[in-house]
Amino acid sequence: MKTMNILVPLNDRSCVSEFSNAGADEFYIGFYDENWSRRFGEFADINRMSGFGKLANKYALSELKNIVSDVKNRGKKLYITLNANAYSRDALTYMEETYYPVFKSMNIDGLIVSDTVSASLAVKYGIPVTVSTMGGAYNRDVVKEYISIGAKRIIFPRDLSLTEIGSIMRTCPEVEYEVFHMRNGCVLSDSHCLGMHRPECGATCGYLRYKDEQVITDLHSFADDHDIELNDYLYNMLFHNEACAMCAVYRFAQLGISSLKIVGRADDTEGIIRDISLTAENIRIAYESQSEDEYLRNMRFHDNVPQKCRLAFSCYYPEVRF
Amino acid sequence: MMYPDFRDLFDAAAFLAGINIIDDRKLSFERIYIGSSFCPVYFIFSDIYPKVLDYCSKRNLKISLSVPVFNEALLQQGKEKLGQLIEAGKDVIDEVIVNDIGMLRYVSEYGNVPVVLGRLFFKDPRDGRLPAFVERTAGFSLLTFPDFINQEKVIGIELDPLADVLDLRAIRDYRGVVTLNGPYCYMSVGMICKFGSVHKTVDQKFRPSTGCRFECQHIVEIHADPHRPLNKKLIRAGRAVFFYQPKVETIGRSVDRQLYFPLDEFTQRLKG
Repeated sequence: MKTMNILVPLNDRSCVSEFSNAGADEFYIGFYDENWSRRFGEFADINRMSGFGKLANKYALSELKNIVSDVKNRGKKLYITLNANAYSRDALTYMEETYYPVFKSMNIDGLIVSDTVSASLAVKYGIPVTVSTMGGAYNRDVVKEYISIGAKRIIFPRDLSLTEIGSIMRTCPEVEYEVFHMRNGCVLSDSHCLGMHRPECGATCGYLRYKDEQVITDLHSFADDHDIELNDYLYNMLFHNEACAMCAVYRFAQLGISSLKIVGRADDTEGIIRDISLTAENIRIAYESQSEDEYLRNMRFHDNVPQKCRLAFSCYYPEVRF
Repeated sequence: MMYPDFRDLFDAAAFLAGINIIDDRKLSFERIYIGSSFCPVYFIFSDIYPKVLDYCSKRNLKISLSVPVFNEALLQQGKEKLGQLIEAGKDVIDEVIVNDIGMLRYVSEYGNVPVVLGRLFFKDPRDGRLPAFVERTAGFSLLTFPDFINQEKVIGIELDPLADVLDLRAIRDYRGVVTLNGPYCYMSVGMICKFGSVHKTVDQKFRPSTGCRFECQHIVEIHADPHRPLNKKLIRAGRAVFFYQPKVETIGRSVDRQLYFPLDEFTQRLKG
């Protein structure tokens, strides 16, 4: 049986070894390009994390070649992110002239793209296409469109249920599927959240949690006041501050998910290594389990079941336990 | 849910669905938008459609039907509802607004239904929290791909006021209908509705696209950063987040249609 891979962010070449040893099978990486910024402006993103500059994209494209070699020499896979919200024709022309031939020469395992135009261009160059969560693959019809272009892998949005994921996979079995698995959550839709991700403002979802909030409502009974206040507190304080799909690993295995994504291009290395190790251990337990109940009994949690697990507001897929 | 009169109906529907509510005692308007760009639950389960179809039919008003992105669980129901509405509104619904590539193909192949590319197709970043990002000239990337916006059956596009000056030079010669939303700019949306969880038990809160009691008709949130008074406030209305962007100029081309979203009026009504 083909087992699930663990996909991790790579923001430091020295981590290839550590992450691989911890159990990572696949890496994704972005890059910066100062010519791009000069030409298209400081707000023009190359990928979804470009707003964080070199903190999230440490290397120039020319520096990726050796990193790709490092990864490939270990028998691992490497994906490059090119998943900004949108690209103009000028930007795409620049990318075609400047980036795509390099991608092709590096023999990467996939280009993570956010739209049909970028995907078509990658296909033209013979580069395997992974549709980013920015591509909004919320249903089978959208997935079919990407497959018709030539996509090889689809990354599911974070806000789909396991039942929905299974339904899409059964309808469109010809591609690989990837799910978000651990670390920074998002309470909005990756594909339709168009606010900037930049240090001076942070993400939109974080802003909505923590800035002054005025609730205007015509619901004024005590019960409604209570419900609104409690809902607001739980959403702002607990919901997907960190997100995790560890309890769903057995179902992922049953569904045939190809890859579990651990995000955090700007996160600390030690934390990512812990998450890789824990995920690898739970994948092993999932494949050894005869049932989901057995997996849920035997799976390992972070640090002896931290509060976030007991409260269950960090779950990507709370339906596994509730 | 019942409303006492048409004004309230339009207020509520506009809040949820982007209906073009303008008080016809004060201003003229040419068409009404029903459906939703953002919420499949509202699109499928709202009960306002018969009243709006009847209202428009009697006044010879045309209707634009907005179709949201459906999550997989609601896709089939969404298509069935779409078919029912197109049939029921065949005399008044003269265009269907789609917001994803799957629905674009579905509606394009559905029959002789004119299609508009909705606001979610135009994914250029926008952010009311960054004054420098609003006080500028900005274009729409997708408009630079004429093959896409000129697809057969596509008769128009629906844009948001994402900056003070909108660069429409890429569609200087575009023959379709250019619609501009206002006075609020859409900034974000998600499949998980905060308001829709208000009345749910704790262990069932914040799940994607589950049912709700249409709490969004009763709650609006306004978010502000007191340390940055120049930043625009963000407003959570339903599943979506907006910022106020009332004054917009265009270069290269004028817009053909202004779509008014009466969030201010709705907020005032909530305040009583």
